[in-house]
Amino acid sequence: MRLFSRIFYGSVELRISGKDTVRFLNLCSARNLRLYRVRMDREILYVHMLIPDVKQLLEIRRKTHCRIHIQKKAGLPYLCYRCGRRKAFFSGFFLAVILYTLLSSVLWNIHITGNRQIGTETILAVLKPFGVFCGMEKEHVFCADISAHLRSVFPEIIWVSTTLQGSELEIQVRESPGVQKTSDDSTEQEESKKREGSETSEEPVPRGSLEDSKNSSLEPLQNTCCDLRAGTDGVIQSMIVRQGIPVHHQGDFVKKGDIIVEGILPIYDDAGTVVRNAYVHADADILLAYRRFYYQELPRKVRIKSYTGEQRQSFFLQYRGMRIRLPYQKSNDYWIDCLEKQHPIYLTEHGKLPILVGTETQKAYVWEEKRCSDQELLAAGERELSRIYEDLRKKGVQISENNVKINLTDASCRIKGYLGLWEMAIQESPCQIRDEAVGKDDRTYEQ
Amino acid sequence: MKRRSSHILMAAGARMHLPPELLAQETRLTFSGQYGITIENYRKILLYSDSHIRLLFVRGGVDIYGDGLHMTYYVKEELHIAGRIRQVLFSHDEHPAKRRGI
Repeated sequence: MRLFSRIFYGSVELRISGKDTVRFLNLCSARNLRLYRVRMDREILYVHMLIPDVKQLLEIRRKTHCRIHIQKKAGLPYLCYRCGRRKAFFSGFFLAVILYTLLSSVLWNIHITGNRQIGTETILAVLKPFGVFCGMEKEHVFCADISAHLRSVFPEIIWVSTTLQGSELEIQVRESPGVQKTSDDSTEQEESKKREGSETSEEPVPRGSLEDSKNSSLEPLQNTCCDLRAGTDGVIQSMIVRQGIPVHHQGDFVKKGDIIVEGILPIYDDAGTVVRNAYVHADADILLAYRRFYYQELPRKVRIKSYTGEQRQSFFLQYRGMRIRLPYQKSNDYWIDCLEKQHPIYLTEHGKLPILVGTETQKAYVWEEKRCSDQELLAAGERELSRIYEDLRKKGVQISENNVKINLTDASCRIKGYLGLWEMAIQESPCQIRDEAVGKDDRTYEQ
Repeated sequence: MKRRSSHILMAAGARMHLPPELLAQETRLTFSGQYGITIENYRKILLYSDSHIRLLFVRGGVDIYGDGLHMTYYVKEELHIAGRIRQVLFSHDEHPAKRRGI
């Protein structure tokens, strides 16, 4: 405490000379002045005093006829006075203290470990609407709430540990080994909607239901009732009906829009009269076989890019939409290719700054006409066919028959023929609700 | 008579588990080996040099002889003397200065 008061209030070393130095000490004691490091050296008294006490020495000095000299000054008031001349140093010191205090109160990094099926970005996207993100105040981080939220959103997670270490939030997760990620897009969309955790998230809409089912006046059972119609012209190759009444059978030719499976089940009484209709969600696996004709012509003369070799490279710094290029010289060439490499700056593992650095390379080129050889043209045609096959495979279409041929002529390469395809080309459409009393008047409930 | 009353007060203070010097206005000296002495409840300094310090108490006084004597701190109720202490002499007689009322 004494040291603190000496530093805070400041202290001086006084040199007191005169005949009555002992009386000087006693008067100081009588006035309750605090003296430190009192020593006598050859009839001269040296004392240390606090600055507020020095002002009371005037009367003592008058009484004792002593001479007082200030030998040394120390403490915060003198430091501040001296630092007044060095404003940059003084302000820098206080700025560093303020910055340290402010920056250490912020969450700077979220480190997630143990996740295999669920991506780190997905977890961060879930935590953001929950109020947990890089840059938030640490005092608002509640580890138990974060763990509970993650467990409720991701059923795959069987264990979560959340700890706050310094300015980093460490989340350790363990996933259930039995749960596999589904590839169905609709399921992913439903999950993503659910994971957003917003108020707009809804229960998954049943397949084949009306789009705006909430506004419909139909019964819940009738809301989900639907027929299955052909998505394209073709022959029914195979059909497995799980729910509904099949209108067509295997081997039948159907046109696009024809009802294949009906979602209305008539219920008969003992006399064989229709008592009422039950409306169900028609469900079936129907494989339609059809042919698809294909024709494409690749010209033998093609325009290709020929790079001139002229190349310019510039570095850029981008902040949001504003970009500064160094050095930047606009190319005079009419045709150029721009290759841009961007490097976002991460302050922490996931703390991305809104600043980009990168390089922009401009390559000049001219168009040249080239006559392809037979081998090159054939390779181009095969590449094109491979691309078509790959597209069909991605759509889940099976190729049952391939009659596409590549013909080379002097001017072009012709890809011509047809493909026999098998596809689950069915569409769900709402049922026509029948008036059971009349039995003839049909009303269509469509939105 | 005064000495007798002082003894009585100290005995009473000991009974009440109070510091005896508090009631009897006695001075408390605490030695830290040979190199330090803390004095509480003193009255005034009569002589001060680096080899000899004479202090006045309410009852009597003390002469401290040594080498390089100096006061680490000095406040109204307490002072601490540091340095090599060679001899401490107590005097039970009242100092003439006290009689003069200085």
